[in-house]
Amino acid sequence: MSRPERKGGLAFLPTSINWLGLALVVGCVTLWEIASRTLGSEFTTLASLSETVSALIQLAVTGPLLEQLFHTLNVALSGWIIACVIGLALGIAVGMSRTVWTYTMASIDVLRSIPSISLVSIALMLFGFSPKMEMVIVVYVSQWPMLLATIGGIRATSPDLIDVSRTFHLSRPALLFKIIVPSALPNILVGMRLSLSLAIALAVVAEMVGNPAGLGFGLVFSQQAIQPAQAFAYLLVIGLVGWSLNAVFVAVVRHGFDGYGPIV
Amino acid sequence: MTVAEKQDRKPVLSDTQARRAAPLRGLLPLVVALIVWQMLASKAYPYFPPPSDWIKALSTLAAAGRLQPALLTTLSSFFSALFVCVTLGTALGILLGRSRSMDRLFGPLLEFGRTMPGGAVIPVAVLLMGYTQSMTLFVVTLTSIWPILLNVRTAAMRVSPDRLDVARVFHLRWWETQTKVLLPSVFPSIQLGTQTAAPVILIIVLLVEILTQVSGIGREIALAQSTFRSATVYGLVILTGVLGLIVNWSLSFTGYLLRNFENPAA
Repeated sequence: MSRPERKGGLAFLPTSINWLGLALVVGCVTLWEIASRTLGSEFTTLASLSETVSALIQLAVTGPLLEQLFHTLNVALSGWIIACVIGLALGIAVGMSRTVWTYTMASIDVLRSIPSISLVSIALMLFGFSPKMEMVIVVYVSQWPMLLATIGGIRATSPDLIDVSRTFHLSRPALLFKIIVPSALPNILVGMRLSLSLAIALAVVAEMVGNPAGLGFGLVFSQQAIQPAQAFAYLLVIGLVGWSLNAVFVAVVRHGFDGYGPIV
Repeated sequence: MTVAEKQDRKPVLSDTQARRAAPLRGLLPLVVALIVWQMLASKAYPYFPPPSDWIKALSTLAAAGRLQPALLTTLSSFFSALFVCVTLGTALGILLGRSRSMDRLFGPLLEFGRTMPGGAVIPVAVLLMGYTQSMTLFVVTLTSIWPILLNVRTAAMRVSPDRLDVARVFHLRWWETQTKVLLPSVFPSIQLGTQTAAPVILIIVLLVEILTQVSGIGREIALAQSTFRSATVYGLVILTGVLGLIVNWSLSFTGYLLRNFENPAA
């Protein structure tokens, strides 16, 4: 699913500048500005680009934007790290043992099918409108891809590699850390990336419906106050956060794990 | 290096195939947990109602005639969004996969769109379009079309030139080439993309309903939660879980059939 950007998407560290793509982006932005100016009297809820930018600057300088950005980033990233550790540990436990896998996998399948958003309501009941609720949701939801990717990666380890480890009389920890984890690494990295985007998305959603803090809250607040320019500004910031975290992760992985095949 | 090569040659789905084979014995921990919950639940913990109460709460809701229309609304939103995502995603995927210039043209927008955290579009869409059915459809499509589009794009890029040559030899018209050669070639990737997209569609449909509180299961969940009817919340969450399960199972079964059809030996 995630391979194509190696070929087409040059948005990140372009080897050559994609003028065509840039032209479309500039065109869309111009069209947006023109449309909002000419249709502005009919569509009062359509903020123009200039209004959005000035709202953005205002929010950043005098408003709560930076604080909210920091809050969302903080929750999403720390939640993501916790989720990765939990998912990796559980994934190794389930993936390494045939018995554990047999007696848990169907339960895991059922639990992960519950749409994350309906769990937000349960978390709201249990923890109220609090940062704790946001954190619980982020961790719970974003550990699933990590768990499933780890299990999948470990179970897909080639039998040849396991035979090699037998030939070398590797101990069980050595088998795990020298053979299985490296061989499952491409899957694990994909799981980490999926977890990261879920962590951001769920942090924003939890802020929208529950915890009154962060970018998600700011977005819903400006929508309810009918401040289109502010809402657009928040959407822009949230989009940039999602895009840049993903780009940083991809860059780090490509730099650090070169030679592990198409990872992301 | 050999590790990477081996991983490369592995079918992407090997983990899903392994998952499909998960035996039903694996439900044991879940069943035990529910039984323990049922036995330990007491009035002292109103936020942990026993599973039997969940079912009672659901049947009360159904008897009041509120469950069925809500379920119908959610399902119809889900299926119409699924339809739009699959058709539009396939068409755009083939377009971008087969045309280098189109791909370059839309590349940056795709990059930005697919990393956009799902729910964030909803408030802005509500401002622009109001609480309407088309708003729901727009939001869900915008957030869930990516897996299908990107999968189909990759598959369309990698369609074997031989197949296209065959189309040329038979003097197939443009439309026939699309429907008889390209579409069947990208079919497995449509399935794969849909398998990723469908749960997201369900989530976003529910999220729109929770945020706008106009109709659907999401609205019922939000109402029950804000009035602290905890058993109803649990019941409805389980109901959405069952929907999610049915969606997951039917899609992975489709994938299983497709793979068998494509490659009977495997």
